[in-house]
Amino acid sequence: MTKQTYTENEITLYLLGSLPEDKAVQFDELSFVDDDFADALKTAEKDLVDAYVHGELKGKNLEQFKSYYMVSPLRHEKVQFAQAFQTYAENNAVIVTSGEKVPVKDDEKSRLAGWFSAFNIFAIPRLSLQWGFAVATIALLLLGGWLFYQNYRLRQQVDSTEAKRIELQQHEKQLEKEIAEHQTAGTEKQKELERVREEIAKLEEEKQELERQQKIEQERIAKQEREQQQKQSSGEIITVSFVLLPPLRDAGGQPVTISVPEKTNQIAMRLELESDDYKNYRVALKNPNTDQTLWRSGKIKSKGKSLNVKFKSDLLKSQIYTLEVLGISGSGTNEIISGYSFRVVKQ
Amino acid sequence: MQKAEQKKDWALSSGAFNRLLEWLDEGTNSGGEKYLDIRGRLVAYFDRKNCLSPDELADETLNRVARRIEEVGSIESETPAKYCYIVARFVFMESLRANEKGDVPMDDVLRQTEGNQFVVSDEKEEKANREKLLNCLETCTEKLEPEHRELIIGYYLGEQRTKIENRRTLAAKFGVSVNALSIRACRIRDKLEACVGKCTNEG
Repeated sequence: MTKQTYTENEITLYLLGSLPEDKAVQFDELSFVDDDFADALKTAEKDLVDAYVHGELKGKNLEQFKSYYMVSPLRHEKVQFAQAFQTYAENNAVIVTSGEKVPVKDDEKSRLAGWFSAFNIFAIPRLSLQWGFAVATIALLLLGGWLFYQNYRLRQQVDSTEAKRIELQQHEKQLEKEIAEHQTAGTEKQKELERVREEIAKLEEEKQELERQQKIEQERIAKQEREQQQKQSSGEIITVSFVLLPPLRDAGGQPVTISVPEKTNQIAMRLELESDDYKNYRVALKNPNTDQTLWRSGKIKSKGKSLNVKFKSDLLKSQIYTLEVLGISGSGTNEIISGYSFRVVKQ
Repeated sequence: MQKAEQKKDWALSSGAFNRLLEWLDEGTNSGGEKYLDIRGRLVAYFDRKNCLSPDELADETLNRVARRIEEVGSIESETPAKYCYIVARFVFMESLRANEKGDVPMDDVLRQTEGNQFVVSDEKEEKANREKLLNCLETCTEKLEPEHRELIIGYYLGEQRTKIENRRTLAAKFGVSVNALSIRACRIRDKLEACVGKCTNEG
């Protein structure tokens, strides 16, 4: 008979009486003529019985086992033996370490038996399993340590970031404050600028007012002169009067031009003072080209912050002259206060 | 009729038995191992067929084979194992016909019925049987060689994956393949079963 192939499942079905008849007959013959099959059959039967004892059989196989396999007294005895042997094996497990056989202790026997039989994996040390557990433990410890370090580092980063955030917030507030201050300062400067501009405008108005007054005064003096001239033409003295403002209030620093009519005998000048600091004054008429003093007054007192002087018109030609005002101090010394320049235009 | 009666009265003599052993050994001297092996296969065969008395039917088969050897001197048409199987089939068919004819006692017939499990009489007896079985098992295990004892206990220790791992470790320890280990364990277990069976029967 040619060698046939068979599977473990077929052998199991054969043992449980579930194999088709023709296949079962083939297996019957193989159990005699094929030593390998015979051994496989014995092993499979023992494994089947052990599976039943351990409660590993399920479904149809379990039903067949109970209804078919267990019918035979001989096979039933096999099951009983398997049950007893399982108990015996668990109670008498031998731990082999380094070639030395050590029987399992009583407390470990109870651990191995019954419900804890599942933990028999620890009963017999296997190098690969031990190394595996050791490696796994080390790996877990390393992983735990790495995770702890990562957690610590991240926490540090969080704290640092938080500190930076707080610092930036504070800087932001400071900048906002400075901006606000600058804005305030800018506003104030703006106000001050406006104030200065107002003051300049005010001074400009005053100057224009004074020039207007000066012009009015000059027209009045001119009128008086005309009246004097009319009197002089009839034998009277004709005096021409002028008003001279302090040098700082002159327009643009240019000398005032005075027109002296032909028949003028006397020039009357009213000199406006910047300040009235002296009790007595002296006025001198000078030619700025030669620095020659043409005329000098006696001690005169100020009237309403102004000095009145008179001198002959013969002293003047058509040129620029200066009336130098001197303050007389208590000790009798003369101190130059200011100089009033004017241009004479003889008519 | 006479021939049938002669066959029925034929008994296995020691000479016939020796010749049977020689024929089974096929030229080698197995010391009776071949006989025990083939007898075991016959018992298992008849047991799988749910025959009432597998042992008796196995012995009947071997008797017929021995008788045939006596008659013809040698059987060379088939191998011993094959020839024993052929004879076993005849014996099985005859036992079936005998059952159908009603030659079998009713109690035994009931035991053959499918669906009936082998029921123990009571729990107390069951417990006693278990105790006896364990004691015999311990006695028989002690008789094993230490290496065989270690092998058989280690082979059947644990469940599922644990058992597979144990077997791999054992195979490596003994320097054999897992398959070879299973065969060794199977044979040691058979020895134990036979010893325990004898012990429980004696007890």
